[in-house]
This record gives sequence, C-alpha cells and structure tokens, in this order.
Amino acid sequence: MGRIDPAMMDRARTETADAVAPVLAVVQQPVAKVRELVDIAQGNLDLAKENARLREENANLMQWRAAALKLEAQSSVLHNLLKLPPGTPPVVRTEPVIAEPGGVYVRSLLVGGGAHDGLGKGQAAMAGAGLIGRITEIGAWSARVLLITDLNSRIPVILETTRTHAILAGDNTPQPYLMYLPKAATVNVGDRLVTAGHDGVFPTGLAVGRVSSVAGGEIRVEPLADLDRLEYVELVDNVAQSTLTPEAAPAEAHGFFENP
Amino acid sequence: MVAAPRTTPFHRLEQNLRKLLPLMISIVFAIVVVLPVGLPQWGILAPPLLLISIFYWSLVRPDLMPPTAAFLLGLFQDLLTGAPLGLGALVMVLVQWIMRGQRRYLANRPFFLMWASFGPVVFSAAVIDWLLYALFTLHALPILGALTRMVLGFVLFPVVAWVVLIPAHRTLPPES
Repeated sequence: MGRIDPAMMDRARTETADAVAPVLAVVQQPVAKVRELVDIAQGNLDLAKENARLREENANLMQWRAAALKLEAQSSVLHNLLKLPPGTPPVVRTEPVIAEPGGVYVRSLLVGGGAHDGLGKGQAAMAGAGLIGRITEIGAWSARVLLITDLNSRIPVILETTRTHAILAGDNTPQPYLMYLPKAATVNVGDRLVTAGHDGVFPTGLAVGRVSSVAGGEIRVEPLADLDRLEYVELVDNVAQSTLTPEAAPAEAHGFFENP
Repeated sequence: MVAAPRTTPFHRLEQNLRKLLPLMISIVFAIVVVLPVGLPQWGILAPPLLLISIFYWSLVRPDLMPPTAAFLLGLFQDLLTGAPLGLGALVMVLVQWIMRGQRRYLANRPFFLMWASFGPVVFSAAVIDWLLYALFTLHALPILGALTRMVLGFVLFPVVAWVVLIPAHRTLPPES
C-alpha cells in the first residue's frame, strides 16, 4: 500500500463539503430562525437593563468617535507628509456560516461560499469586532475556516501599543496564547493585538483580541469576536492588502523612521 | 405451507427503500451535528448522534448496517468535521463489530439493558478517539471534553431512540 497523499485528503474534504453545502445552506435557515426567536425572547426579558447599558456605551462611543476623527485627520496629514499612497480598502465578502463541525479536536467552520464566489485559500475571516481565523480549504461552493482557537492555528500578531511581535497560537481552548514573545517585552492585561501581516497572508492591522491574563509566563488572549455565536463571517481579500509597495516608498520616509 | 403475500413491483420497491432508512437516518444525524446552532461550546458538546445510530442499528438490524456502511458513515463524518481522516471510521467499524456480537444477549430484551450497554461503548469510543488523536498529533488534549460529550450522548440515548430510532425500526420490513 502506498502512502496517503495529503493533497488527496484535502480534496476529499472539500468535495464532501461542496456536496453537502447546498443541504446545509437550506437546513441552516430554520435553525437560524429559531436562534433569532430565542434571541428576541431573551432580549425582551431584560430590555430595560440592556437600554441602560447601551445608553452608557453610546455616550462612551461618542467620545471615542471624537477621538477617532481627530486621529484620522492627524493621520492623513502625516500620510501626506510621508507621501504614502492612500491605502486601498480591502475587498470584503460576507458569507453565512453553514456548519460548525462538532468534535473535540478541530475548531473550524464551513462557510457557504467558495472559489466561485471569489474566495481563496489563506483569506482572513472576520466577524464583527475581530479576526476569527483563515480559510484553509477551499471548494467550489464552500470553504473551511480554521479558527484562531484551533490547535494548528498560528498567526503573527503585534501588540498594538508596544509594537511587540508575537505568534498567537491556539490550543483548542476558548482562549489562545502568545508564543515567541521577546524576553524583555512587557505585556499587560487588556493590551490589544492586531495582525502583523508578516506572513504575507493577512492584511496588517486587523483587530484580533485583547490580553486576558498574564500568569506564570503564559499569556492568554480573549478573541474580540464571539466565536460561539457566528452566523456570518466577512472574508478579507489579501490581494489589495499592501499600502506600501517598494517603488512607492519614498527615501524621506526611511530617514524619518530612523531619526525621528 | 402459507401462501406468499401477493407482491407488486411497487410494493417491493417500497420495502427496499425502507431498508435504506437506517442509512438515511445516520446520514441526517451526521449532518445535524454540524449545524450552527449558536450554543456556547457546541463544537465540544454536540452529542455523538451518529454513534448512537450505528450502535442501535448494528444491534437490532445488523443486516441493514453492514461494516462497509459503518465505515463509510464514519469517513463521511471525518470529512465533514475535518477530523483526522479515518479516526471516526475506525471507531464506527469497531462499534458495529462489537455490537453485532452482542446481539443474542441484547436483542428483544428490556430497553434499559440496551441503554446500559451503550455506556461502556460510548465510553470506550471516547477513550479510543482521544488516544488515537493524541498519538496522531502528539498532543494530549484535556480528556474532559471527550468525557463530557460521552456523558451527554449517554443521557440523550433514550430520547434519540424513542423519538427517531424505535419508530423507524417499526416501519422496517422483517428480516428475511
């Protein structure tokens, strides 16, 4: 007997997912409806409390908005000074989650779009607030997203404030951990993480999560997206990722970074 | 000698289609488990419906759940969930093989006997699954997830049996 070809196994998986995708897409609709009704029923129960919380959050967000507008203006002025080309917004597609495979070992999703919808292997998957994973297998009509909590997920990230690089590694628990941090790095609970983009697969600067615990050299990260309740995911095309192409990087820019 | 009941081609077709019921139920179960129901930790807790189905049919109608069917169903589940290919298939074939041998002790006995014997089966399945995965990936995952799933499967067994499996069993044509 010869060895089993991993590529053939991948193909078998995507072919199966493709074959089942239409069934799943149909069956998933009543399930989603029931979910929605349960959500509404739950929402009605503590409407007053929810309102109070939202009012407070809204007030808070208005302040953040003002801060963001100010920073955006400042950033565009600085971009002009550096002669950076304006960033092209990434191409984003939204696809429904059609299956959340059970099992103890794999953290992945099937989404109801594939190569025919312009999706490709390696694209980043986002849900609302943050990154949830990337496409690892692509069929014609379906794609498998490996979640950042999976044992095999390794994603280069940067700590947003200190710009320290690290690898975000999953271990099948709800909270992935940080690997390969420089020894001198200081990490505090609450620090935000964004994608580094050094792998050439992900766009840079996608929000991922925040540090939830630093204990005994183990740094755990709470994903920003709620991985337990995913209905739709946004898939970010990595073609239009780079805002800084080599020929567009002006010489002054280098000088600026070396001698601030 | 009793005269054979009159059979029309349509009748025979219907009887043969009914014989596919165990297989169809198993396929539906394998798909139901992966639906996104939006419950926290569903991925870990999803009950092993396919295991329940294969366990039941190999016990009451092994002629309609041959080893090949158990193997293909396990493979289908592996392909769907993205688990290491063959892991589920192996477990399902083992369950089919063991339960087939237990038939003379458990068939036509009170239901709770069957339920009680599902305990060790689902427990062994969880342990084998966990052990093989550990060998395969060189990663010892917390076994708690596998055990929780097994307990849930055990508790749900009578519900699945009474709601789906036993009514389906009644509609099957008798074993030839």
